Amino acid sequence: MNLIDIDGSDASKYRLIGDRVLSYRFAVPHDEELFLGEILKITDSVKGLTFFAKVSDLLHDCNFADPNWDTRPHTEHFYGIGEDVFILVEALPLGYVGVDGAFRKPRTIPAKFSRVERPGSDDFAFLRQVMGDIEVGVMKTGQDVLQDVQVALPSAVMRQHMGIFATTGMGKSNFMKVFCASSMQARAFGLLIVDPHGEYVAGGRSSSGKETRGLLHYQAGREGLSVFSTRSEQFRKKYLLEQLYLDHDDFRAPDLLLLYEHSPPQREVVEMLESTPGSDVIDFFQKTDFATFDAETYSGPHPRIARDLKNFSPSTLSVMQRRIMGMMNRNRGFLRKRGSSIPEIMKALHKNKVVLIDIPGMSEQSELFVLSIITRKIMRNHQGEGGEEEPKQVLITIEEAQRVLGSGPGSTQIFREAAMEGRKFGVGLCVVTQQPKNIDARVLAQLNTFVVMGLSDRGDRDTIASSAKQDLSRLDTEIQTLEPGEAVISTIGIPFPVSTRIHLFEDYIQDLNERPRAKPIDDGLDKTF
Amino acid sequence: MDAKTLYQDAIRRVAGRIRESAPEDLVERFSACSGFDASSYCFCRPEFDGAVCAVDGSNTIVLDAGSFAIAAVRASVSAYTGSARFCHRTTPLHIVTVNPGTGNEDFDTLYYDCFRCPPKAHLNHDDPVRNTAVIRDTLEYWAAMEMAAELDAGDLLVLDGTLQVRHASHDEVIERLLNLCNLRGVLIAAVTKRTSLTWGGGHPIVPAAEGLARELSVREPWYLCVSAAEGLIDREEARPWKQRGEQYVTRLHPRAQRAFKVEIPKYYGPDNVERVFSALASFADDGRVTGYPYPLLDAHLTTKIGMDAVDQVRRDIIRDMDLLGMTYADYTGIFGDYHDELDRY
Repeated sequence: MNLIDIDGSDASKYRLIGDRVLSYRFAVPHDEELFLGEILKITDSVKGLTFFAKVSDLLHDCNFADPNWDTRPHTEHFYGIGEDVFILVEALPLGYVGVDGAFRKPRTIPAKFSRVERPGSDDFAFLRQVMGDIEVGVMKTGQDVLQDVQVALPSAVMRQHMGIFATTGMGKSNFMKVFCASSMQARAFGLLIVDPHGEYVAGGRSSSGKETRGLLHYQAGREGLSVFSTRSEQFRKKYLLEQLYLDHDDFRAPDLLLLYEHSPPQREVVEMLESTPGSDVIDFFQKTDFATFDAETYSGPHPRIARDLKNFSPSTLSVMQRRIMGMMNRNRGFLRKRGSSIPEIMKALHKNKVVLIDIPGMSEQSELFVLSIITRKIMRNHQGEGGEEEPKQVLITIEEAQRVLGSGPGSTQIFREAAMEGRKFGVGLCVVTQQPKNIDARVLAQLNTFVVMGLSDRGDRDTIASSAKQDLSRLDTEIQTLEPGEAVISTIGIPFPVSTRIHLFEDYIQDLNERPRAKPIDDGLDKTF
Repeated sequence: MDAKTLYQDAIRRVAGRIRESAPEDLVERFSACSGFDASSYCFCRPEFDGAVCAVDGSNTIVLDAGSFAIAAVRASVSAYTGSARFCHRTTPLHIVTVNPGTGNEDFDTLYYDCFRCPPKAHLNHDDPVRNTAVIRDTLEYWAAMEMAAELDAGDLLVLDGTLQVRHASHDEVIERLLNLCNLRGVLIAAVTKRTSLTWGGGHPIVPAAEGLARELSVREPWYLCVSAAEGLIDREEARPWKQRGEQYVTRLHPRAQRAFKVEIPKYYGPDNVERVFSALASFADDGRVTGYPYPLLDAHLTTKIGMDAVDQVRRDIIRDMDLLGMTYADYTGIFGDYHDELDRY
């Protein structure tokens, strides 16, 4: 006869006890430090598979039959609480790696009691095969990051549009600058970005007041950047920036729809003049006195326009005249009769550069005006390309996109057109917004890459979850608790939504500047031979 | 008399008997009969510098063939010092046959394994459940002896139940246990969750003692030696080998659900008695069973033979019957009865 020491080790923790293929469950000690979003590895030694799952919920649980054991008053002390009290972890399956090393979606379930553990960087080797070439950060698991697992968006899917969703202060500008720097390095597509705040070129101050650096500070990637600016000549010369010009022929009447509210007759005027060259429209409205205007007796240089507008009342035409004059006046810094930067912009985009339109101090209307014109030019250019060749890829960034891609009446035809049809012409939109719920659902449905930073509004999160191609609904708590500089990224190619700590731009460009540059294959031949 | 009236009369009669055993003036009567007053209740500080080791056992009938039954039995110990458990042990799960009538080979063997001598009395109960309880007691006493030999002087060994034995074969065992504890300076006490002790011709002792304490505003934790009042307790067992301890009622925590009975060897002086109750009270602060010494709950949870274990034993028996060429029909022929059939409906 003997008294046997009971084994104090606890096999009931960190082993799979869930019963569903789409939701894993296991217990961990009641005082374990585990975080939402943490990625765990589940080793199924029976089938030789390694599963990965992301912690989606944590709840206290116990083995006691009494449901009120922990709520009675004056029960502050408990002996041996760790044996029967534990944290129950709900985890979202991400997929599994088979013996062939390939990652697959979680269509099977790990064996009962498979061991659950924290993975190391080596466990994510499979991700390197699927990550893209536009590096934006490192993979985050719970509160920590896996420094060796870089998160990179595939440039090949940029034409399939991208959405960046974040409230103020969550690191949206930092993300955009990191994205630009990586695009400057990769040179895999042209990226257009219009900056009315002047913070992207040489830095400025973040929303938290901290001093930031600009894209020009990424010296090693300078060749991948073209800046068209409205700044002073001195500034432009100092940093080798191009001057931004748009000419009257770049303008089309529908551009006015972005700038003003229009009554139905005014909208008809715009539609009537849609295909008329901008220089003619401007010239006609500059030189015509609508108090005495009569289409029948008009003898100026634009009789066709006069004929088209003959049925409109003088007051409508006067309003249109005032608006065109206002538009001219507001944009006189870069809008001129002849000589446009558009061909240079197009050339730079087709050389897969980041094209920054730097218009500091300009109004919101000027920003939209420029963006509308360039977007239209890009679309028409790509639509006209045709041919056998794969079209060049261009990604157009639209900040505060709810202004032009809302669900209201179609005042933003060109952006909508780019969203709906741009993909087949190699034109993608990078939709940046704080209010995804105010973006037209049909536009959201076109986005194939989602970068979701902190969103506190439930409606916004629901909109995102219902639009993303991967299931983000169960990451709702994680999205809600994202800290500044963190994002959940869902894109084609990467098999599951990846929690990411976005690189800090200043650190990232320092790292990029210090990285040895890839040398062309013929570099050094002169010296050798 | 119709069925409803018959039933209602029976309920009324039973309620009347309960009222008789616990009359409205129970506390006054208890006070008068016992002579207890506030000074009879002793306060103990819930502080203890030693270890408390609890022993508990568990038994369950796994299969019942009518002519014999198969039972599972084990005992476990759980010892704490401060808030930490330092000893957590169990006997193997013993599977024994228990048959009504004279003698039980498994009991004799197990008893010999434990104490290296044959039992002085055979297991002759007709009830297999009672037989199983005796086998469980055997394991409990043996486990207690093992721990009594290990604990330090001043530590407390707590048994679940009483210092009375239910089978004559255990008489000398408990004597040896008490002697060993006495020799080594280890304190011993038996905690009873539910007692049959009565006073005044059938009144339960615990509610009476607890009610009087409440009326006298006695501060917890307290203990009261109910066997100190001459002739108070009704049921003095006739056989002297069943009598070893003083009977106490105690309430160990202000938030305790109820008081309970503790039995302590008769020869303990007041200091040792107070040390016993201080030790019990110091472990009576667990939030789940406030007022009950936690090491006993831990030992209970450790030793409990649940349905899972019973099912496993049944499956193992079926497997080994199969190896002997028996079929499932043989199994149900021996152990099945119409209860199983009826349970399906």
